[in-house]
Amino acid sequence: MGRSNAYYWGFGFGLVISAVIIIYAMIKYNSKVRYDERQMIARGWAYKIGFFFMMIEFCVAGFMDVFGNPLFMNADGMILLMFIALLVFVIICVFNDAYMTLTDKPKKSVLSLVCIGFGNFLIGLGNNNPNIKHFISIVDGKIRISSINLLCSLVIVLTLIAYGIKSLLGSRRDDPEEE
Amino acid sequence: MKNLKMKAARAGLDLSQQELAEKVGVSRQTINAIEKGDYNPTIKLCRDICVVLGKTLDELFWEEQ
Repeated sequence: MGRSNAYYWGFGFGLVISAVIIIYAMIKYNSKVRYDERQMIARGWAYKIGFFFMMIEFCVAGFMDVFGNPLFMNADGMILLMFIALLVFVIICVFNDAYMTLTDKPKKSVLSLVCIGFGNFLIGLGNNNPNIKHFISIVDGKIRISSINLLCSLVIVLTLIAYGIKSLLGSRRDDPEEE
Repeated sequence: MKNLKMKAARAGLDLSQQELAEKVGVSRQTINAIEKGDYNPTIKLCRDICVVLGKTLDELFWEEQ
């Protein structure tokens, strides 16, 4: 299937912008990103669980294909499974107080997430209008994601929900004298 | 098992968990987890806590059998 020149220009432009942002962030913020020893252990554990969760997902997807249901056997399906595994990693980190670094300010970080999520949602809306309800659909027996931006915003919303639940639980369970 | 000795030493210096956490360079949740007995700190963190609270390792972290 041929793609238009605009598609490749857009892809290349996005790649360059992403690289610039990542390099800038690495140079400017890398020295400030710091977790304590408990957080490092929790993040390592979360990474391990997320990784094995993804491996299990891929195995299940493979077996489903063997038994005649190739639901996840395309790039969209694999991306969806990877996002789910990423979400597992993030939720474990959030619930172990290992998501934010020691220098992160929670309100600022949540606001950043909201902005990024909203930005992705707007881009997804632009890409997907008027079929926003069906951005994940099944076409010819396979998953089809019509906008990765909407998937990103969904993951961010779920992360924020997990963070909210953790904050509510944390404020109840912590030592009252410290609140 | 809760670490009441550490909690008492911290309270004795009128330090909050947040203040102690900032002095030893960890998160407040980590100090909370140590005091609640949910996390066993490394010897390095134990030593840092002892230095800030002016106690020895034995005084804060040794459990009599």
